[in-house]
Amino acid sequence: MGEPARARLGVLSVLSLGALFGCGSDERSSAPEPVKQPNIVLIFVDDLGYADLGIHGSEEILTPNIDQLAREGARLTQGYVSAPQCSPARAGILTGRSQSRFGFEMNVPPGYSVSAQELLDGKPLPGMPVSERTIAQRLKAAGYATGAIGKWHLGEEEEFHPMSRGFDEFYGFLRGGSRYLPSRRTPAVERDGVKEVCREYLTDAFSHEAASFIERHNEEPFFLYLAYNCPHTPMEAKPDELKRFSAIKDETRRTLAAMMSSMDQGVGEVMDALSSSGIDDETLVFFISDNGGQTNKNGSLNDPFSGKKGDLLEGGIRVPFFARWPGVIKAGATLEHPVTALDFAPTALALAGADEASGMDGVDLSGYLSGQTKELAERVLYWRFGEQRALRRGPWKYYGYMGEIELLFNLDEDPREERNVARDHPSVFDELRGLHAAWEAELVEPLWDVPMNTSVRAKALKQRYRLGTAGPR
Amino acid sequence: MKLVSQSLSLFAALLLAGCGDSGGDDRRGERALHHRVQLSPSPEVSAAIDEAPTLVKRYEAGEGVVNRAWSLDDDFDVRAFNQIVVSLTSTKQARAKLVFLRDGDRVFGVPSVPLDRSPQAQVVVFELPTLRRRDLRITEVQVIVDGLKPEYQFHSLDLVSLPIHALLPGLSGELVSADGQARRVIGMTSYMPLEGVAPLSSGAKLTFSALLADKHRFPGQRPKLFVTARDLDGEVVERVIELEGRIAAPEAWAPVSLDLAPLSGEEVWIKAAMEVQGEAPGALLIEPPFLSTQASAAPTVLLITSDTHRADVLGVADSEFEVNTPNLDALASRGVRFVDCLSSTNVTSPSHVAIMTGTPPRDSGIITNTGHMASAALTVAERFREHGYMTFAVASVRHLGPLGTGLGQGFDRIAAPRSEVWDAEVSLDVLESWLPDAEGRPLFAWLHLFDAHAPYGPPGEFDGRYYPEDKDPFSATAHAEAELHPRWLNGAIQGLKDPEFAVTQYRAEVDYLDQQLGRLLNLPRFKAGVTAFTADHGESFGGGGVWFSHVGLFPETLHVPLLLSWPGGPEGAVVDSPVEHINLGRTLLDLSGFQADDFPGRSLLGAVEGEVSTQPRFSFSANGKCAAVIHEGWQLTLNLRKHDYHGLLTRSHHQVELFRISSDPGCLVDLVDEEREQAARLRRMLVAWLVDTRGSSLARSGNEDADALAQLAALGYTMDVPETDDRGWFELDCDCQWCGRFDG
Repeated sequence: MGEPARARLGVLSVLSLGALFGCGSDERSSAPEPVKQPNIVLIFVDDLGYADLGIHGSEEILTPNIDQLAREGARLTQGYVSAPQCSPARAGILTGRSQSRFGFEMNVPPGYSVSAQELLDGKPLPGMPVSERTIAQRLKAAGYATGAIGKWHLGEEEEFHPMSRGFDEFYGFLRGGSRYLPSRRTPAVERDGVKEVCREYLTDAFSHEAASFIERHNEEPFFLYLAYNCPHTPMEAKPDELKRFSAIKDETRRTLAAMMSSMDQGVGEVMDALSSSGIDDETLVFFISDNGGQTNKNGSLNDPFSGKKGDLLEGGIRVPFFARWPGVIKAGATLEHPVTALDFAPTALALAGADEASGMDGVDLSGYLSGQTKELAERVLYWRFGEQRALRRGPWKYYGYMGEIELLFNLDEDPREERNVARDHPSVFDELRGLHAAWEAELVEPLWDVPMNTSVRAKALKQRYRLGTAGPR
Repeated sequence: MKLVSQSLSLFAALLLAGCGDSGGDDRRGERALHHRVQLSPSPEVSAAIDEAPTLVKRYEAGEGVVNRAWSLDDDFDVRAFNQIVVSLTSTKQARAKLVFLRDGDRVFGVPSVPLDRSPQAQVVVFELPTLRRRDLRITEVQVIVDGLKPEYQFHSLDLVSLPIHALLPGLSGELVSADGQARRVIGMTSYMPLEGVAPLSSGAKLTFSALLADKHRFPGQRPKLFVTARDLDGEVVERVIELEGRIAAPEAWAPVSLDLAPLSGEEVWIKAAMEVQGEAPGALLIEPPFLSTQASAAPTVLLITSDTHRADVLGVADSEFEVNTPNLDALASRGVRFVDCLSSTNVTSPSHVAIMTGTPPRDSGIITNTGHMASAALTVAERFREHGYMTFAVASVRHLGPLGTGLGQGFDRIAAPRSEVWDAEVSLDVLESWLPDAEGRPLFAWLHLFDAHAPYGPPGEFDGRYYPEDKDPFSATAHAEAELHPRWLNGAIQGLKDPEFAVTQYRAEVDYLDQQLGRLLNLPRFKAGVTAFTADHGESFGGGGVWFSHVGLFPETLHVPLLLSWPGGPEGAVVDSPVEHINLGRTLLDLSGFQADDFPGRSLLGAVEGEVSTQPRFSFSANGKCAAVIHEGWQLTLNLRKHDYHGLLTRSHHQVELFRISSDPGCLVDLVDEEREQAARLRRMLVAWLVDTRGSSLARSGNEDADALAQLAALGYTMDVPETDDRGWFELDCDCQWCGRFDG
């Protein structure tokens, strides 16, 4: 049954947030005004290539609205997600915890099923464990109206449904992907648990629903999780948009450009809903991709990084990461400290004055974003994804595969991760390796086995980094 | 406006006297003691204000249009206008949005709105109240029509400047949502103070709340609201409220309260003025001030609707279903219990619309939980409100709330969950938190509870209280009889073997809601007032072959509890005569002393006084699947189209079913073949009722906003209001097999 709306936090804590930021928007009078709980919009897109935004230098993929969002806010140039794949990355950003801590390390494999007897034997149901509390649940308890729009992919059973995980409203689909163009039975979506067929281009529908959510809730603090499945496969674009990109020869990439254009216009419309409702200076917007581009499937490019979706190389986990809040975050700021999508939840909680972010792996970025804190303390970021392991500290990145291949990169000098410098910096290598092993000891076993063709990856890595068969280094 | 003649003349007289709505005169003709102060602009100010919209610029089709953009030949300051009106024709499914550009860069936009698909020209209005806080110049406006295959034609684009108050709710009030609850507010500005006169009595207090809406906020204004009450001797009580929107107060709604004790005399003059820093006008939304005194003669009226509550699951019903409902039993013992009351339908929103308007779903056209009531509908709440009552509504499901059916109409405040449902405890908390604001004022409160609705999950101590502790209802040995089809066992009872468990949990839910209701029913103001308790519909426990659901029209889904108590009424009376809860609205008005001759329905007081109705009773199902007539111990159901119940129990087009419900209340034996004459008689009755659909539909269609329509007319636009579809529910000349059996 419904979670009662709790009283908004008291005046005192609101004032202390005001002191934290110490400024209103530039259009306000000079006297500092206290800041109320900001609205929070998280735009989480799907399989976007790092290179495929105008602001990241693309001349083929045109994204004027996303570029503007980025320019009006801060670009976090070393932004990561906690997994190179849809479901675990979503589990990470919505909980603020590394998904490997609760076994949701990889997508549920196709064909996974649980019989009644297996359930009794403790085989887990295919969804994000209900022991985890989502940021939506926490913000809802702090008085926020909460809405999820788009792709869910954290479980389809009732207990995993967005409306069981803290969202008041849901418009979208529960699985990992969907058709985009309307036909008789697709795209199959649901609105607040009731199934319907979407009658317009799916990306457009998500944008319209998002704008509508903002307009309906503009007199109360809200959290909107807008999870476009664009530009995830299947590659389907609106005919009118395809025509605009006829100069692009490759069909997949042309379709990608057209799909991205629809999403970009949608992001513009969401931003319009904020400004025309008069709340853009009260709203923190994040734009993040769930993982790197799936270059072999959707025509995306991850330059200047190597690797793609599914890899713990930079191309799989380093993503476009923008934060916009006019009057609080300086427009055009470039923030270069490594951050992760796991920081989203603690940041949102701090701004909402909600309960403590205990047990989270992310850190509160609010001071860093507003410029109050110039430097973040040095931090270590950890990943485990099946047989892949990675760790980032300062310029250094450790990468391991099956305990058989272990690499060290200096990302300052080698962002493309082409030169393994493990032999040149043995003490750094040993230290990072030890840190990772210690972290890994805190993790639980993955909830499901995902069959992988490990020999192919091992072979490719060995060739690329010219490793012998003698073992590590 | 939908005023009765009596109150219309009263209203007009008060307006002429410069005085507000002073309803609440009770039937004994005593002096009114409570007022919603009708505020209007100070005469000297309003005379100086130009109400008319100013057309800043009109572009005709072809002029400056490139693709789907209008290129302005000027450099426009966006503060010069606050509305854009586009006339266009769109023949395919499409939406339209606005984008403003300066030298090719996009600087502002407005999200898209859906267009009507029509060969006729349509007018799309974009209200832009936030433009005035932008220091922006633009050189281009783009109207973007987007869809899969849009086909459209532009006719004109107008930049319009309206006075700020024209973008605010008018003086008749509008429901505005903030913090998850909607309140009826009027708009005020810093250039237009509002004032009104009300009769004064000792102990009077003035209460209301104010909202500094985000859309109308202006930076750096630090607005202050001055509320002044002055008597004829010049004695003044004043309150200044600094408003910061959501910023200063933890809640969006800022409470305002003035104790008028220092004032004396017969009348009080109330003024509300807003002061802001800077040149730009400020805008604010306020509830019309409520003037209350300690002694109000008008009774407090409480309407409780318990969703899915069967008539026989009530302590006083003394049925096979044992429950512990001391609070509802006490209500029955201080009033009247109607033992044979039927609902007009089997679905929540339509049933509530029927109770609130006295109009059955057959006529309202609202037959699903997503239908939206048009503002033209006349509701009981509006009627109470016109009589000076404060009107509060708390609904425990989202679709009855401000985002749903439109039942907020006539209510000063309405709250409902943003999602999911509220337990009785939460709903009662909300209602209780509002009660101090209605202290001393007549109050009409509607409380909707959802606890008895599936899934049956009674909280805490109530969980499992009627089921043997040592028995597992999900174990195969729990129940010897034939298994229920899994389709009846949704949610928490999936896999249930013993249906008795679900029934016991339902009973425990009823115990729980009764316990919660005690908080309200035992308050002196409700004990002394008019209280009604009923349900929107019942629930099948096997009736008609349906389990744990209210699909279908059967005695189990239509038979609802009805308890009614009022000051001076009979105590512990039991009425056997057949009644319908659609007459409840009119009865509440009647019991509160208000003329309700023009309100649909018949007062239930006749039945209380011993009249025995022999009239047939009719009901109409969700989605118009079937209709039923109940008369003299019989029920005939006419299926209006082919349908089924949860994928089971298929019914064919125009199939007729006949049940002798006096001896077969579970509708298990269809007698349509055996009792031909009875069936023919009842079917004739039901068909006559179905084709006699009265009046226009109450369902909403098209643009509803009268102010907006008037303003568009001033700009030269006429809007065609689409004709309502008055197709009947039943075709008399049908030649199907079933109709052939009866008509042939």
